[in-house]
Amino acid sequence: MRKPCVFWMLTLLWSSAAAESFMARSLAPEHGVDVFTRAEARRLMDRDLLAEPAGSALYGTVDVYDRFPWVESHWIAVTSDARWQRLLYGAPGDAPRAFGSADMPIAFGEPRGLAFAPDGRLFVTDRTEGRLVVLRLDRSGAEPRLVYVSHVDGLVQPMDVAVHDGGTPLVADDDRVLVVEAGEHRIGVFAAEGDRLVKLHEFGSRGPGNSEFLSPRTVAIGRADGACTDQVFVGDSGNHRLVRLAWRDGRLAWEAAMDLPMEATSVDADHHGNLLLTMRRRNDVWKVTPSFEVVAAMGGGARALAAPRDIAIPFAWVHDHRPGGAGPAWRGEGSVLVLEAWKDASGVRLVDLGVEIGSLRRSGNAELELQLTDPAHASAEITQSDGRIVRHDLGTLAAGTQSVTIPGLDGAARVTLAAVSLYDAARQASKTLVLEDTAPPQVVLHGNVPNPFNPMTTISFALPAAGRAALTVFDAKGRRVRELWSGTLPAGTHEFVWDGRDTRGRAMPSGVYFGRLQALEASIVRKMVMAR
Amino acid sequence: MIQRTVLAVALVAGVHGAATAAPVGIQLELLQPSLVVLDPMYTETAGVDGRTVGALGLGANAAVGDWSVALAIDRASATTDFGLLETPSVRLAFADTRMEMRWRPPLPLGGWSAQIAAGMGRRTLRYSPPSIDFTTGGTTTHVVLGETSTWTRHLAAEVLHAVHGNAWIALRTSWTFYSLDVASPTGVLRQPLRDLHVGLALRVQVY
Repeated sequence: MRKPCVFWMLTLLWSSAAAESFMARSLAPEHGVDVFTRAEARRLMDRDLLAEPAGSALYGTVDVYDRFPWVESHWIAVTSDARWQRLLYGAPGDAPRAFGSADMPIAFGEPRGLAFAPDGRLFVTDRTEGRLVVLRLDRSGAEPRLVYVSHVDGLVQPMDVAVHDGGTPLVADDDRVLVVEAGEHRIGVFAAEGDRLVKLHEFGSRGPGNSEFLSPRTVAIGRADGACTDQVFVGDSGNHRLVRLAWRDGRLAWEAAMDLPMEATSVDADHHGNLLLTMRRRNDVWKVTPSFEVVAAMGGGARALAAPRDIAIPFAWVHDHRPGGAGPAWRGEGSVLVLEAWKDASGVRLVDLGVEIGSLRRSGNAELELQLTDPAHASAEITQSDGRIVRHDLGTLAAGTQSVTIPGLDGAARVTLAAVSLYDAARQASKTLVLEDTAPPQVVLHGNVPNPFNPMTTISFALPAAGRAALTVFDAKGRRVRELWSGTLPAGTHEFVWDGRDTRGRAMPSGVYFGRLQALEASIVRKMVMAR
Repeated sequence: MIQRTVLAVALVAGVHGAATAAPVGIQLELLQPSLVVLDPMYTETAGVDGRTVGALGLGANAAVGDWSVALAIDRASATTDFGLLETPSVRLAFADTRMEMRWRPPLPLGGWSAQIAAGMGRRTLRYSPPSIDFTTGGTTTHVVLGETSTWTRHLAAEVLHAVHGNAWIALRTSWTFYSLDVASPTGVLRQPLRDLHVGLALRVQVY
């Protein structure tokens, strides 16, 4: 029962405003290991541990008692090694065990995708053997062991797997297992009958349109309060998009798709439903709401991720055994396991999910529009022009952009919005907005703050009256880089954040940029300097 | 059972020795730094970060000839986060009070001698802070970390070296045996546990 140390660590010194959305925290300061890399494996264990890590999963149990040891938790981490044809597993921080072809009646070809069911079954896709292997976590001995259960043959390049618990984590009978078959450009849906898996139906065919995929690579199940929702998300690799499917009458149906700048190599959903997806070739991890709003991105910078290949949200059974305690609940942790390409300087990291207020502006009388990167308890402190302070509890807000009504919010005031992450009360964010009482006599474009910036900056302007406004960023050659806003705004001050990326999400290089505001027949330009 | 027999033999022999031996002395055991290798249960179940922790102790003993009776207290502490991913560490303090009977075989070798001991005591486990809150999936659980006590028995072996005629330095190794009621998902289990102590003791004759 050691806490993640050698295996799981973090890094990430993130100095921009987006830092709080993905936070680094040392999990094992006694080891002083930030990231478990190939080089660290050689230093600590005198050997290579993995050749080509392809997938990862983390499964836990937390028991609460009314006597010693009061709280007991155990975690099992599993990583698939596609080249050395085995799984490595064990309590994070302890010496890992290997599970390979010698431990079951069949041979691994190229184990890749991993997914735990709440009851401890582990599903493994084997790409080259065209197989889905079912293992079980046997906890009866002193050390948890993986045990072979069954397998299904006849799949075509199965890349990833996800388990839908039917919305009932406590009940295994209604579970559905979804397998991405890249070779057939489809999703296979299986049901468990005892130890056997039975294929129920398939969804998808080759192509770029609706209900079509091109070499899909990854799949995840939507979540709400830990339990699975009826939404399924597929990383459509060849079409560079993230697809949302839905269960209708027991079958998958197409809902929507979101274009991505690059193929997503992995996607997973956290406890509250946010999607985390990796784009290996961009060195990016994105945080996306189920409605496809990108709320945060992690990438770039000197200590950025290096080719993030897989991402996994740790889930655990939490069981309070005390008299009157809550029964078992399947709950997600506020952290993600990021598996990077296995180079000397990259490896396995654990990154916490924090919370950040992405934007905050007045969207109407007594109404604020804000963007949260993660679900949070929010509150607003209003400092009126006469010095009076009024506090409003805004309750629990979901991730994404939303409007909140604050009674009496009109005229001049200073609004400080505070958000406390649902994952951990210690993770907080706040943002202040100054509201002007009287509209300025003319359109004003304030300078961006900070300036120079890296990579995010906030551009603010004030309008004397309600009307259409457009805020656009151009590069030094006059090319349009990004349109930050185009639409109608009320009178007053407005703020917009530019994250240093163009319309397609590509990080722009250092240099001089220009912010142009066109509003109420005025056109104003301000110079901005990005220094990465 | 073996430890109880050893203890009984030591006590009987001690009484006999006290009746027949000559010089009487009282020693203060001023400083007893030691390393404790905890039972694996502490790392595997209670989530303690490491099995080896430091301890400090002090005590006193009264000697009659080759026999002595000692009373000592030890304090050690470890850290634990209960294995939780989201919880800061708390300190788990071990407070031991022990009494033991010692016997020194009459084999002085140029200022060196050896001693064996057996005894019993009381151990208290105390967390600081005495409660934690941890959050999983947006739900916060408050847990009061109560105090736990149990009786212990121990065996010890010491190598002694005289310093300035009225002081001794002892290299001491001891094994502490005890049972603890440990909660588990299947109920409360009484677990036999064993810790190993290795340390030094400075003893000064005051009478």
